[in-house]
Order: sequence, then C-alpha cells, then structure tokens
Amino acid sequence: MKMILLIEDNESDEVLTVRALEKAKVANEIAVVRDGEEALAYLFGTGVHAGRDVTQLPTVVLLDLNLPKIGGLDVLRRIRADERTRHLPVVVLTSSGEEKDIVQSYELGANAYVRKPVDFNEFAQAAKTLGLFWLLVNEALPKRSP
Amino acid sequence: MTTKAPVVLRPSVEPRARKMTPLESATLALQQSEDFLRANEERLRLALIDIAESKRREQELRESNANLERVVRERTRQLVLAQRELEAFAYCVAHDLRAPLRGMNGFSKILLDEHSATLDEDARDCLRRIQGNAVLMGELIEGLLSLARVARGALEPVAVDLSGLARAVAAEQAALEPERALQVVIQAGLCARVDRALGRLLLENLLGNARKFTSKAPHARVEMGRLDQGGEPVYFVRDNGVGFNMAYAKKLFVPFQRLHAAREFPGTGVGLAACSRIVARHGGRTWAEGKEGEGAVFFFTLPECPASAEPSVGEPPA
Repeated sequence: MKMILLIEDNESDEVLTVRALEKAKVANEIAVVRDGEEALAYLFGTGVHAGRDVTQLPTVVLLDLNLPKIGGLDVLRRIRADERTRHLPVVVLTSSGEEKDIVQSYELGANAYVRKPVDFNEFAQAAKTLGLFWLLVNEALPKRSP
Repeated sequence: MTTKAPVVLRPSVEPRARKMTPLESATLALQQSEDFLRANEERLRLALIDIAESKRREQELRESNANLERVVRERTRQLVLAQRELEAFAYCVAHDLRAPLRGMNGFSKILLDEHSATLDEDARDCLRRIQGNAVLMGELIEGLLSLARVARGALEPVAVDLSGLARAVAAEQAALEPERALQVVIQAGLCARVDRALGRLLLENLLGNARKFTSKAPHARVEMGRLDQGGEPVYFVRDNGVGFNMAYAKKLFVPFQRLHAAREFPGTGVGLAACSRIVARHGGRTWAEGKEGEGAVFFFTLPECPASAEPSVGEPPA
C-alpha cells in the first residue's frame, strides 16, 4: 500500500501539494500532519496517534522545514535516530534555498532536497516527479520479519 | 767629605713614566670624565631632551594605537552583528514571503484549469494577471536575495584570468540560446584580483545584459577589454544593442530601477546594482555610457594582479 506522509503546516501549501499529488495519481493514500510533534506521534504511534499500527510506515515522507513545535530538522534527526524509521525515505520539500538548510538536511540524512517553486505548474511537476520516483521507481527497503 | 748643596732639579711636569697605582688611574679617569662633561655640557643637555621627547612620542603612539585597536574591535563587532541581522532578514524573506506567493499563483492556476467553464474571458484574464504578478514578485525576491548575498560573506580576492572566465561565461550563455547569433570578442590576457564567485557573477551580469539588450540588433556584438586611463586599468563591456538615454545614467545602478519596459526586455533591475556592489567591495568604481539605438559601454575598475601572479580562470578544475 503506497502511502505518502506530508508534514506541512502551511494550509495553502498543503492543499496545493495534495492536489498535485492526487493529479499525479501515484499514491493510494496521503496522510497529512501539521507540526513536528504530530509527525513524530504519527510515526511512532504515540500521543494523538496512539494505537496506530507503526509497522505501517509511509513509502516516503515529504518534510517541510518550517514547522511549529518541533522543527523539520529535529524531526529528521529523530527519524534517523530510531531503528524503526532509520531508513525511511525523507524528501525535504521546502521554500528555503538557503545553503545552510540544504547542508544541514543532508548532514542529518535527508534523501533529497527539493525547493518549492512559486510557479504552480513547476510545483505540480515537481510533486509529480517526486511521487513517481519514490513510489514507483525506487526500491524500498524490504520489510523485515519481526 | 764636604757635602755640596744639593742641586735642586726642576721637578718634571710630565708624570713619571712609571706604572700608576690604581688610585692614581681612577683619579685621572674621573678627572678626564669631568673635563669631557664640562666641555660637552650643552650637547649632552640637548641629547637628553631629545631622548625625553622621543620617549614621550613613543608613549603617545602606543596610546593612540591602543585606542585605534579598541575602535576597530568595536566596529568589527557592530559589523558582524549587522551581517548576522542581514542574514536573518534574508532567510525570513526567502521562507515567509514565498509561501503566500505560491498560494496566489497556485489557486489562480487551479481556477483557470478546473473552473474555466464557469469563467468568462475577463475573469480568466484577471486570474492570469494574478498568476503573473505572483511569479514576478517571486523573481523580485530572488533578486533581493542575490543582492543581499553579494553584500555579505567574506571576500577572498585572488588573481583571476578575466579573459578565460569571460569566455567561459559567454559560452554558457550561448549554449542556452543556440538560435541566437551573437558575436563575442574578448581581449586576451585580462587579469584582476577579485573574489572568484563574485567575479563570475559580475561577468555573468554584464555579459548577460549585453546579450539581452542586443536581442533586436541585426549584427549583435559584445566586446570586453581593457583601457589604460591615466595609468589605471579600466575594464569595459561594450555592446551595440538598444543603448540607453544618458540623462538617466544615474538610475542604472540603482536596484530595481529599469530604463526599459519589461515586456521588451525582461528583468528585475538587480543585475547592475549587484555589479556595482561587487566592484565597490573590491575598492573599484563602475560607470556607463550609452546612446539610444546605438549601444552601451559599462566600465569598471578592479585591483590589479601582481606582476608575478599566475592567474587562475577562477573555476575549480573539472
């Protein structure tokens, strides 16, 4: 089951990204969380998402850096620190083109870094390309038996 | 035996040539010193005054140096603070201003794509304009950010082969527009002491402008070279394009000021402002001359390469 987890706090960006991904028809499900704290709760089945089956991990995570509560880079750090999510593909999808953000993201183990363009055509194209690659082309880490 | 009265010999004036006792030597030396001092009293007095004066000046110099160092430390602290604030500001601009633009552009597009049936031509036109404005604002933000980037960051000037760099930049720009015929002539052997990245940006802007504003010229030509004006090397980039009215020359290097309509020649008006800042950061000057319909020349000065320098083309080896 191909699932995308979108971690995005900006409402407009959320609507546009989801729309672009739906248009691309690459995923069965798109889950959206709106801050860093909820993102971690979702991935590890705690807090508001207590009881979620954590063996069901997203196929790819789209992570914005500017998040309330726990910031994007910290979320990335925690994802990479936990054995269960260490190899989870994370694509940083953000407004920032600042070098230090790009460097930090790669340092913390992001798989890719994509800048959100202002032009929606380009944005939709980027979302489609990302979706196609990570959900259809990329070979995910095989699920280990528990 | 009859004793005669002894002959009194005149006592000799010179000291007898026998070895002096230590006491006699010391007394003599002392006497000679005293005589010397008396004879040279005035000269000694003046020498002492000179030494005192020297020492006083030395002390003053030490104090003023210490003062200067304090001033420099304080100014450096303020400069670093200002640079950090600029970075934070630029970062904020990048993130926070772009997001709403994306929203404006995106939702207009969705209306155009998915609701065109319910929209008349006027409505569609309005939406296209909203989209266009959002994209334009995005470009203005990019321009502002790149201008800010020129202002911050440490400068690392090295000897750069400007001819080689200009040829590389011109080739890259030509590759993006294969259908255009533009003659590019670059004088060989141009060398200047300039920061690699900023030097490249400078040439990209000047050559890019020349390329852009000659797009309507029948035999478009760009030339780069060096003149010697009053013993100082002055670099120039000349084109035979649309030129500009000298009456507005002062506006050329002001950010976002344009002398041509965007629909004729695209751009945000940041390129020349960036050039002017880059050159100024290296201690040089920029100025321009133009004639409407005939072309323009942009002049700039940069620190010279030392005679012995091996200039690099400014690019890391492939």
